[in-house]
Amino acid sequence: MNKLFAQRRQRHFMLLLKYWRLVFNDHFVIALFFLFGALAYGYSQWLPQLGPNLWWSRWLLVAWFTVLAQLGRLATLLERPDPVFLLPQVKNMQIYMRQAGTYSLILALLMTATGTFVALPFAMTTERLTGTNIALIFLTFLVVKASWLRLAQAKVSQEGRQHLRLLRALQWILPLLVALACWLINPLVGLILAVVIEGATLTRRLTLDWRLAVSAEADRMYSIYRFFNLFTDVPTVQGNVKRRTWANGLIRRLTIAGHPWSYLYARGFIRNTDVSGIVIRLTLLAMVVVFLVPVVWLNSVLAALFIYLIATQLMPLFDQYDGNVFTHLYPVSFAQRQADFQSLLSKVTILVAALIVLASLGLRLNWLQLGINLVISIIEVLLLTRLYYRVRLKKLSEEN
Amino acid sequence: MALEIKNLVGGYSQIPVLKDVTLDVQPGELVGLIGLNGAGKSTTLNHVIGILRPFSGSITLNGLSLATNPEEYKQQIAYVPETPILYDELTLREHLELTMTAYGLDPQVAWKRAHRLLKIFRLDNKLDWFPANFSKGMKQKVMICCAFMTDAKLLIVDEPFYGLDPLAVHDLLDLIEEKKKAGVAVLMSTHVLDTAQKYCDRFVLLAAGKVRAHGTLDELRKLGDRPDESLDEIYLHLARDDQNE
Repeated sequence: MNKLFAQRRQRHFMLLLKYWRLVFNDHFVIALFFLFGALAYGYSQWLPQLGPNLWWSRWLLVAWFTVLAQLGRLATLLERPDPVFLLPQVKNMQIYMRQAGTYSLILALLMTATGTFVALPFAMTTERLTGTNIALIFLTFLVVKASWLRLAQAKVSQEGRQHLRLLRALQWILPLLVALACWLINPLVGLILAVVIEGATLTRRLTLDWRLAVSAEADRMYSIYRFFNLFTDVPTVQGNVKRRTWANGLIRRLTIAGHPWSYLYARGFIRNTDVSGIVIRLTLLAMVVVFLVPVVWLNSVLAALFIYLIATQLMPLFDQYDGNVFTHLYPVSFAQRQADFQSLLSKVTILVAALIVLASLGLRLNWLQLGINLVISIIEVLLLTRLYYRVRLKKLSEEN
Repeated sequence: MALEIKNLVGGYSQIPVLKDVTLDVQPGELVGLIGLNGAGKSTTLNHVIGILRPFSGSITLNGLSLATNPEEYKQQIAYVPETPILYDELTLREHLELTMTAYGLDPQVAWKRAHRLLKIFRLDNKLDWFPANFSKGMKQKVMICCAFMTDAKLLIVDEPFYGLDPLAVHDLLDLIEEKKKAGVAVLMSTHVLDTAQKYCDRFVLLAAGKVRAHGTLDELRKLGDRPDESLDEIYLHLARDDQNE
């Protein structure tokens, strides 16, 4: 039983390794590198423009560190059948949870340290920081993260079950208080406050609440899978479903009357938070990026890149329903299904491209930029719908 | 002749699960497919609905086969699976609408039938819910509504009784009876033998991928020389014989 966590961790690593390998094989990663490069470049260009004593810089730091504390969740590696199979192991589960706590803490501390490291150049430009200050800041937020994880443990315990809302609020409020103390008063005060909070959250033994713990872990794993699902097909990711009644008009527009596959794909696309979620997020991100980037050629390259990226993310929807036996029973030909899917892809891509082009007008109403992006995106959408989708669909259908 | 399976050999991978299965279902007839777990009931049904392709042998439905006329063949089939299978993203109303679109049913006629079925199964106030969140029994009822709403000439029903409340079991049997009267052929796999005995016209007993016995209850009784035994008893005898071999 004591080896269980170690075994699980091992298996978890193998799983992550498997997916990371796939991630680095994907062309999507190249695009992400571009994006990160652009962000890092933008960051370095932005810093020299900042003078000292900006009224908002400290508040930005407070916000950054409060949000940073939320990254890195409690990883228990519990699985759905555990409550049944491990039910008699009451004592040993405490050992298991302690091991899980340590494991999560190491991961979380790495993330916190990275996040702090990213914020430092900004902080050093706008604030006057000594070496001691920097060390204190690192220490403060590492301690904050430890307390945060303890609250996370309480959230999946029988003792914490009645106070879920309070615990959730504390996970935001405590880091916020420490961040305020650290940036508005003094890093030393922040550290003292963090240590006091850490002392207060060091509570007595907690009894695991199976139901909460298993569903929390399932959520966590799901978000990991969802990340990998950006690059490759993860079988366990099916996505959540939201009704989105407000989008009924859009669904109607995407549906071709009398075509069952069109009916299904339109609803699947809008309501499955997986596909539409990534499309919406990428579209918004693209709109913000092309809205802000003033360099004309870079702006156009980014716009084109984003349209392509979003287009690739739509493809998994094609065989989303292969697991459903009824899709094989419908008296509808495969060619019809392909045509219906392609029609959905075209409509969505055109909509996305139009939004991105519109956003490229920017703050300064750069009509030239908009014109260039419009021409590029029209060509790109034509290429995508006439060439890319056709080739990809052909490949997908050969696999079937 | 509605469904005709001749010398079917088939299965999931290279190894055949079904070895030389021959059976038929006539219009207006309910045939019970009976066998132990793993005997090949669902495999047979999966071949009929076209999820699996036969290694050899033929399956024809009113003279049409899946290989030559896939669309016309599928048009004639409605299926109620053993485990309910639903779309996470569709409401109950949309499941019905999708089925109508897929089978090209006239919406007015189909909705009239659908409303009647929904009423029978007490689902008529849940049209805008996502059935993916329903209980097992309610999901099963959704599957039944979708299948029974169509004009299919052949109904494939896989183990329909589990999870259904007694009232729903009764209603389902009534509906099957009604379909039979309309000339629909019904092929049903089940373990609930006393119900099968009462309602099925004929039986096909599968064991280890082969047809162990087939015929009406009387014919089966004659076969084992056990004149007053119930289907349950005949079946147990046959199954035990097989184990001893």
